[in-house]
Amino acid sequence: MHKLSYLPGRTVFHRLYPLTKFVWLLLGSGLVFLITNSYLLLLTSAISFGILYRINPRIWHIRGFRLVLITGFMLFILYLFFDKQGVLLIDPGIHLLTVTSTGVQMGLLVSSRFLCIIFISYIFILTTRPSDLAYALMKVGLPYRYGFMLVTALRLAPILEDEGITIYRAQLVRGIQYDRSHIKKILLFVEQFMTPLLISALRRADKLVFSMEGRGFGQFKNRTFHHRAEATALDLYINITLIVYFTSILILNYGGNF
Amino acid sequence: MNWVDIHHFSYTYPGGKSPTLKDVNLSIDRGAFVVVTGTSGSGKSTLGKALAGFIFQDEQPDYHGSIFVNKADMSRIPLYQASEHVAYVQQNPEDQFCTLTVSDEIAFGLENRCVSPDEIDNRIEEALQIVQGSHLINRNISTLSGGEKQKVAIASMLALNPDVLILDEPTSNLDPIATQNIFHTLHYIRHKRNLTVLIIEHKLEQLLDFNPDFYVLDNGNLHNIENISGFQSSLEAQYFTLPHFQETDHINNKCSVEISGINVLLNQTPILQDIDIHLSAGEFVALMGPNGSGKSTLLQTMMGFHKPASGQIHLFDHDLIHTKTSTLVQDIGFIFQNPDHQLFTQSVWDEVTLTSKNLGHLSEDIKTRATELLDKIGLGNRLQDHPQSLSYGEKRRLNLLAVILHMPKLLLVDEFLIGQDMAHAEAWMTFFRDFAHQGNIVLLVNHHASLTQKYCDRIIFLDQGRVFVDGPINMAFERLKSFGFEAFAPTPSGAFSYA
Repeated sequence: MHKLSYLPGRTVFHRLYPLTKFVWLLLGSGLVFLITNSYLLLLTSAISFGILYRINPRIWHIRGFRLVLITGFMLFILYLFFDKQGVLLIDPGIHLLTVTSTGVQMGLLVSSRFLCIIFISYIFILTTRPSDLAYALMKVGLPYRYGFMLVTALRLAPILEDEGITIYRAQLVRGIQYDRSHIKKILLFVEQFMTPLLISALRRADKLVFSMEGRGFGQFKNRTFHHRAEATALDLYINITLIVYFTSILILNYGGNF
Repeated sequence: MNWVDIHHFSYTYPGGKSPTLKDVNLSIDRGAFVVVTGTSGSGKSTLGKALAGFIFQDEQPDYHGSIFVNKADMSRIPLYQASEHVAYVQQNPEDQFCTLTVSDEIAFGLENRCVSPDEIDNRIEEALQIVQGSHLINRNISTLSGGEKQKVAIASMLALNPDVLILDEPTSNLDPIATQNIFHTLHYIRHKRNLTVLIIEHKLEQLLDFNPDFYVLDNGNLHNIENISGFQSSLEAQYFTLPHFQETDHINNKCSVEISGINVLLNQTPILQDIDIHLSAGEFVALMGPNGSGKSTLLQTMMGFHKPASGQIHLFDHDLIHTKTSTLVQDIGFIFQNPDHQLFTQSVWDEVTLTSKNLGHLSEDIKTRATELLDKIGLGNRLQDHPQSLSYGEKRRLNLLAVILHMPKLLLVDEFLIGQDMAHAEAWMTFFRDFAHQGNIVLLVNHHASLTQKYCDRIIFLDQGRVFVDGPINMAFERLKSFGFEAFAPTPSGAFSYA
């Protein structure tokens, strides 16, 4: 099992400018709520799954991905069970198990919407270095102090995760038994776990301030960036493709009656 | 005026009772190479931070005297201006990095100073070239080795063209080969740039070849060391007390550890391969090897944190594969590298008795022993104090007592000597040896050859996840030397080095 994080690669999506991907992540998440035809939405989520599969054929090994699929499936089943409007399609004699056209439509719509948002988020996360996004945002006007909040958080998160594991192990070797104790004791253990983690995090923050201010951070209102990555013709092609796709989908959906 | 001039400088930390630095005087010429050493807590890092201007950023810093670097009064200029004169490389490069890639990290300071992107690219290239790390330019920081990280930390400072480069124990996390490499790099930088370099360091022997000016900070006072041998003998007088264990003849020979054919994979990468080790009661064993050779993983596997893909481990009566860590705790004590990661409670007393309490063994006998031992390590009158309020050395002693109070038979110790001066390191080694010779087993991960030679009974040397050498001290060192690992063996001048 792997964590959901940036996966180095050379696919088209890896080569896109981070802002292009970020804008389409937001736009895409909004557009799926405008699509009301369940088949069009199913098509969109199938395409996004196809792209995701091309980016990482071992997508099943990413922690949590199977849970996402199960949740999508459960949403579909829930609508089948509880939405009984429309034409009766299957009638096994038990009311709960009857399937109606609206149940199927709504089930497909809601679960496709959910899966589509998750798939495009996965595509974004797997192909975008978070720090590249932060730098791109800073270059288009995000104040660099906020931008670096993101960069330093990304830097510290895995370190704190490792420290958390060490502290947990240090607890185990002192005879702390998370698995054989009652809830009150476990809460005490959690408090004992958080104390060193918090102290360590504060120390790190202190040292990071030294390191950043010791290299002139905050000296001027603006700063330069050595990153030269910019949108290319590829971004233009992808933008045109997506605009054409979503416009067609919306036209098909509303039949020209917006 | 000299390039660096510290004149009658004293400094007291906010809330401190006595000054950390006392009437320090130091003049350094441009291009000089200065080494400052001293016991833990003697004020070495404070001197470095004073030179870098950090300590003057408090609202009302309590200091006397003056510090000038290249004619700039460090106490009167804002930090960003001070940073144009002095670059300070912290002890652990991990603490210093604020971006995720090598090029972003080196560019960071230059970008803050609004240097143009073209100029930044040139300086990144030049800085990496000078630390002999040009091949690292496209790497992610998280994928670098300890030595490579230190090179990037130095390069990120060099790129700023400082007047003085200060390095606070730059090699404390590195193995002897990486240490040598960093010292050579620093020597090269000095020659290439005529840069003034000040290193705060315990490892003196490896610096002798570069002929630096040695200074020692002793209790806040700075002295020039002209005679290194005399300096060593003065340090030996500063021993502190640890609970003393008498050697005994009554060794319990049933107390043994048998590791056979274990293979450990982490994230599908083999870390340990075909490890066969037998440890007997009474042995004090040094576990050595380059960074990343699998030493810590071996200790952690013995404690049940990693399940071996194959092989068997028998710890005393337990078959490790079928025993939970919480059961092993009764017989095994484990001390981690960072003291702060293993202090959990609100008072010294609670900390010491925590393991016994969790194991349900907190008897009157144990309480009496805790009181006696706390007295011996000098914490007898601080029972209600918060463990985090103790000094570094006190925390280390508390860590030890908290782990050995219930008398485990096997003590696994990871990189315990890092950041400790020779006097403390010797006291610890004496303790571990006596504890082992009482019929227990101590397995200590460390890089210090001369201390290993003096105190340990045996060396297990790992290289690339395999046992490369396993044998009595002298035989093991001879073998290491003949296979190109000279840096790990003691040198004739080894007695002068620190831990």
